Amino acid sequence: MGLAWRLPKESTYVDFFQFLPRAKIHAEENGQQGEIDSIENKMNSTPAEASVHDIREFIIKKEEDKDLKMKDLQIVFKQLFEQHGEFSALSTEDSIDPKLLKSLEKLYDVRNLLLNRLGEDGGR
Amino acid sequence: MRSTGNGPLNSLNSLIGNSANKDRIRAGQQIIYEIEHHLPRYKSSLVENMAKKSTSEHYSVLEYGDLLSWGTELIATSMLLRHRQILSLQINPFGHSHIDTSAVFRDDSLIEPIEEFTTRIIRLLEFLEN
Repeated sequence: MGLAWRLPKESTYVDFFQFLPRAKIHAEENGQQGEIDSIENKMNSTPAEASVHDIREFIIKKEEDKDLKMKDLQIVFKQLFEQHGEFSALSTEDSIDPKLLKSLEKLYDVRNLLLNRLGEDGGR
Repeated sequence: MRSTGNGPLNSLNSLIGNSANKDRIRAGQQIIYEIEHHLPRYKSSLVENMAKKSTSEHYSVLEYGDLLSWGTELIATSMLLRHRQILSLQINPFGHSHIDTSAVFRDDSLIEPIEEFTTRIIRLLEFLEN
């Protein structure tokens, strides 16, 4: 079974990158940087030995890490603005450079292409 | 600051003399201070990872992982810088009374990282499409 079947599909890049304002995200808090580094080292040093499982774990953990960072950003903005009612936060779309916005959309396209490609050939 | 006559200083005194405005300025300054505190946690201004040299899916997967991490940091930094910029204008008594929050924003420190980020995404996209 290919990788594409194992990872949840997000509807848009806006959902994928958890743009603000939106409901709280619920990411598992795993101390996973060590695991990411370990798999990455293996894929770099002995790519022939990296299994489909390694590739799948790498992507999953990278995306969980992304969710944790976005959750952390939500908390930061909540703390910044909730205690100071005089000001309110902008949405993510109004806060970032339009060029970055387009690039994030392209990166989401990359993700979908990558998952489809890995799904077709089993991640070899 | 004391008033010495007519003009901008009077405007400033009338603004900061108002308790509500004083609270607003203080709140804005506090948020800016906290934003400054959070900014160093993100490394988005550093182009520290070169694109992976290898080919095949391993290249794409590792490059995707790097770009994903970098993208989240660019989002965080962009948002913090944008809010710092707008707050600075909003609490400036001589600034604009109305801030156009929809205006195109570009922080100089992020121009190069965003360019490089975009280049690497396009390169990876082309690799996957071919």
